[in-house]
Amino acid sequence: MQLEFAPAPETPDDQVLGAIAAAVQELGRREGWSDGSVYRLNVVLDEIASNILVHGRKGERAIPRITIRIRCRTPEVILEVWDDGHPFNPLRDAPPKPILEPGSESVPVGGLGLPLVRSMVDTLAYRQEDGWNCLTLTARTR
Amino acid sequence: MEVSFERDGSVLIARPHGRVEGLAAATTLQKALEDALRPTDAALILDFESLVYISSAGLRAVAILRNRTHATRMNFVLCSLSKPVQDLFASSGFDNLVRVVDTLDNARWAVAEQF
Repeated sequence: MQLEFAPAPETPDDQVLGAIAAAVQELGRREGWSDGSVYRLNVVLDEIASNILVHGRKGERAIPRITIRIRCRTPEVILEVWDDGHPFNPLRDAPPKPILEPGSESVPVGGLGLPLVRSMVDTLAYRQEDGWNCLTLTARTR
Repeated sequence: MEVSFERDGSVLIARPHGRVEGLAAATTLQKALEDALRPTDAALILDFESLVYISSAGLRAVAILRNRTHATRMNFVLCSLSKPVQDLFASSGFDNLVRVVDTLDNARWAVAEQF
């Protein structure tokens, strides 16, 4: 399955995120994934796409194009997320996981997305190809 | 995503319905709760019974509400999380940050015993 997005500058995030959610649900239903797996893979793709939509712009340029390829090798799924936005290697450039101290007056409110992704997948690799970022992730679907 | 509210004395019970998807929906949730809270409120219960989906954008809204209620010593309890949402809270460490109970009844008890 391949999903391609070339959002116009004014496209609301939830239009892209909604299409991702619908695709993951459809694929999960077809492949017999557990509800937990569908949710987890939805969150993984949502977090990565959200990051690209928020941080991936190159200056004043439009929102980056995003292509998502999903390959099923039951009980594993391989996700590839391509975008032509600002070069970003989450393995090297992402801020460390925020420290959440239960007693502290004020806890950090950002930076939760990528640590969540890392906790929900088995492998995560990054490469750049012809000006595109490519993230490859593998996760179990049971 | 829509939020409905119920008030029980000085306890505000908020129920997001549907999917909290992306920053826009998370901000809508956060603002709706901030607008509904009164300075005299003693507790906020966030009831996730009708919540279908939440990602880190929604957790961000929960963190902002946690900081706000913590600053004013207001009780803040979450209840009725589905299994995938419970897993998300555990993965992110949010289950240690805010009080999470299984049912709305237990949430009412939890805030009552803290008064």
